[in-house]
Amino acid sequence: MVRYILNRVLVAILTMFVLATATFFLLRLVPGDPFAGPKVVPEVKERLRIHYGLDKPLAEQYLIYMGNILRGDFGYSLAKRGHRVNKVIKDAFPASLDLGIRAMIIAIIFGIFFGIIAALNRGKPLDYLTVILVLIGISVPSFVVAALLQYFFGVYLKILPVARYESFWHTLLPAFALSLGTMAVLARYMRASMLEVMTADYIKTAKAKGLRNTQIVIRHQIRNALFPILTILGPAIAMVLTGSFIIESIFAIPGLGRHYVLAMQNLDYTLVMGLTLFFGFFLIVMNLLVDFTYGIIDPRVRYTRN
Amino acid sequence: MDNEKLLDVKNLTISFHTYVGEVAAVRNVDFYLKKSEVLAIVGESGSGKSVSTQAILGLTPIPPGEIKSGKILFKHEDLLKFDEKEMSKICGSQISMIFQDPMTSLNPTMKVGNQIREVLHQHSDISRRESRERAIELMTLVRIPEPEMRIDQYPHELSGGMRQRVMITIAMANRPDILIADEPTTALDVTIQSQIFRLLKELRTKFDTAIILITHDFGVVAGIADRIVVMYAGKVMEEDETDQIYYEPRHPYTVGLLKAVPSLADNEEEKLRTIDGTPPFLLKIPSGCPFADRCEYAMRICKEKEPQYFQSKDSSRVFCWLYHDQADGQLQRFKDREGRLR
Amino acid sequence: MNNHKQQLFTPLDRSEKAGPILETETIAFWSDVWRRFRSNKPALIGIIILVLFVIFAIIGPSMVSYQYDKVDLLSTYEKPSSEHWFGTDALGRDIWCRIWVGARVSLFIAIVSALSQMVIGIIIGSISGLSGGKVDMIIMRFVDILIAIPFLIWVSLFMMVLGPGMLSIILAFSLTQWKGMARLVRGEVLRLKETEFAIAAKTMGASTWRLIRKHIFPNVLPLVIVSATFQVTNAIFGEAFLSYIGLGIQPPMTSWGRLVASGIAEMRSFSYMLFFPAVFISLTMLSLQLIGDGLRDATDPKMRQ
Repeated sequence: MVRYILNRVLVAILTMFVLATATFFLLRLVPGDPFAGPKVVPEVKERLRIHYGLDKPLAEQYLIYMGNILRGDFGYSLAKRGHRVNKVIKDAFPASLDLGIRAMIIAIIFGIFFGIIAALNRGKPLDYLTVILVLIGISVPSFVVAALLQYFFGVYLKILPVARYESFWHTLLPAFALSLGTMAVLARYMRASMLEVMTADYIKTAKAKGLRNTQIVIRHQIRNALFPILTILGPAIAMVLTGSFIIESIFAIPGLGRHYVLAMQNLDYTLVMGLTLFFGFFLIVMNLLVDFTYGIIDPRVRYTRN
Repeated sequence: MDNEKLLDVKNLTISFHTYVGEVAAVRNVDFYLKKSEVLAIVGESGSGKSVSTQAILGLTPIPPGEIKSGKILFKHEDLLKFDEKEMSKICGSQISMIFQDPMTSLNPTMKVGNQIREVLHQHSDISRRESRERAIELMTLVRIPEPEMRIDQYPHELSGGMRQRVMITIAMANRPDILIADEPTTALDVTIQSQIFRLLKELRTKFDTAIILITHDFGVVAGIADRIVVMYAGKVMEEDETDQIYYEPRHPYTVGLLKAVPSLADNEEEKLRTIDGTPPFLLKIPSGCPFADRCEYAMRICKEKEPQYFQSKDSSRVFCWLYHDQADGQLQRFKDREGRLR
Repeated sequence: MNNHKQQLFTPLDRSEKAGPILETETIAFWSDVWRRFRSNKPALIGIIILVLFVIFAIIGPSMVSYQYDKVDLLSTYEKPSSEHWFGTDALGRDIWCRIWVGARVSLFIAIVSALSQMVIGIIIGSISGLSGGKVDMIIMRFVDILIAIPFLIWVSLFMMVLGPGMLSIILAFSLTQWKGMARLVRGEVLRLKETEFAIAAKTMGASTWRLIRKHIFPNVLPLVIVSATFQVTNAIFGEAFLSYIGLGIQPPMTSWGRLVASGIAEMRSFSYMLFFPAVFISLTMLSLQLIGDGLRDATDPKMRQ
């Protein structure tokens, strides 16, 4: 088990290193000048280049950058003069995290619930309804859903705030919009997982023991069907994270996703780099956590890794 | 006579509706089980032996399955008329079952102890402490070493033989009247096989439990079964007492199965043989005897008309045209050729 | 006992018995797949919708007398009418016309990038699976790293480097999205390498290339096609995402993603501008999903009788 964990952590570190290197060199290739602007005189530009260390040879810049990253310093934002990338992350992360957690909770609870309902009513109207909802959840792009929700509840019915992130009521629409895609995927997995467990031999054993159907469903079927769901929590988190780019932009939420989109539009590549690495780091850690939790919870995995 | 019958399956017909059509898995099957006797149901896979016994506990998946006719009388009550609640009182307490693959028939994410205790709690009102003690007691009884430790382990931490012992513990926990063992040793090593059978015999003597043993292997039934029912293509082919079947098999199919057992064919000339061909696909049931195409002694009539049961004693019948009065010549040929087996 | 004709009790000749049923009923694989796919109504509906969209993408713009980029400041924000079937946008351009020109762009990007991912994935996956050892390990580690970061982040980074535009989008998808396909192909190659017919073919002196072409390729193909279908969905969504954040197709050229983006901007006053592109993009994703599911079920060996 220890070996397994060490191995996974090593791979994670390697991934981070490759990601940092790749983003560094990729972004140095970006055409266009981050300091471009009609009012910027050449001397100022030159000073800015020196200030940001862009005059040094590429290898040196790379080493400096990597050294800074190791110390947890992502440098300065190019577009927002004087803003440290770390500060941007520190200010914007709480809102994003809050939104992400809300969306994950909604997605997990409803996704699993719908998956169970569909599986238990297999081939009946309720199942078809869920399958159709799942397909819609997967097919309709998140920004369309978000825009429609915003329009319907915020503009047309005027019962929920249209934008910003200030009170509980502000969180409802974006969290729900962000959760839909993940919810659909989870529901689909849960349904498939339930149906697979349904045909397992131990369900027959449970029946032969004289357990009632409801007891079997609760004690054996749902319990076992939930384990595989844990494995897709990693991808689900990634899905929520990339989803936040758009949802935050649409609802004007001052989170990391919105900053990321703005930074890309402004060619603010230190900020893009910082955020990319931060996202990468966040996801890799999340994946490790999900994996280890799975190993601890599921006795089968626990056993095979020992 | 009828009073002795603990379980009486009558005229059972079960079909499965698949997307290619209706598959008649079990056709007009009758068998019975007396108190504390061991009945072996022998047949190849797909012969309907598992389907007909799973119906006893209401394990037939409906749909796609459909029980088209028949009765399953247990203590004179038709189990097929029972609702879920009534069935759940019978299952695991008066009738219980163990399955072929102990790897998959135990819940992989639940401690074995809890799986044993679950069946205790289900059928009696005992405290959690009592059920734990009782579970350890039962595990000792089926000779699981170190039950106090094993009780908190998960199925994958046990060997195949141990897992099957856990399944037997679960099945015997409430001292059932009937234990249905569906190929209980097929997935296990040969050495473990005999241990499991010894255990089953012992438990039967101890608890007076009647056993239905389902198997495809004639080799395992000799030492344990009192009576044998041979099934093929969803039909009972032959039924007789164990000794009678071993020393004077009457159906050519039974003969074929017996020849496939190593120990019975170990003399030099008679090499181990398999029956040529494959069982019919039960989507299109042949008009005559289902075994005709594979039978060495098939006659014209076998392809055209389904045989009847020819009864010799109360406990003995055979589903074969050879025993028709007019088939004397062919029957003689059969007896001459297969006499060596006796 | 009833009496029968004595003749019925004569032995049956071996030739009169039915032979054993051979299990390998050789219905050709693809006709079998087609048979099952055809009985899947949702997947068929998906195909019909997609075919219709492709036809309209070809003939749609020429069905009206407008140009997709023709600005007409006298007829801005016109609601759908018999003049302008889907209305006009802020610059008075005909939305019907723009939708189908956008469809050309979106569908072209999606299909071409799915195909190129497929080709790259098959090549890298086969190399990885066939060579094994160090090469395999390095490639798979690389795939792991690609997978660890969501594809939209990779694609966005590439788009910043490559600059906006159709070719860039296709390139960005192709460069970052082959990983799933490569993994799939590698797994299948490894599995098939061990199967009897591959070993038999190898011992009989078949060349590696022949082995790939004759044995491995036909076996991976079903999986690859199913996966490619879902990749088309991803690409459609990816294009829309990029266009939405401004890294995608640049004006005056348009795409479904751009149309949705401008629809969202104008949604409050002119909801039809969002409605039409949103419906088309969603229907396309839905159709692809249905086709993908249908193909997966139809090619799944577990579902075959």
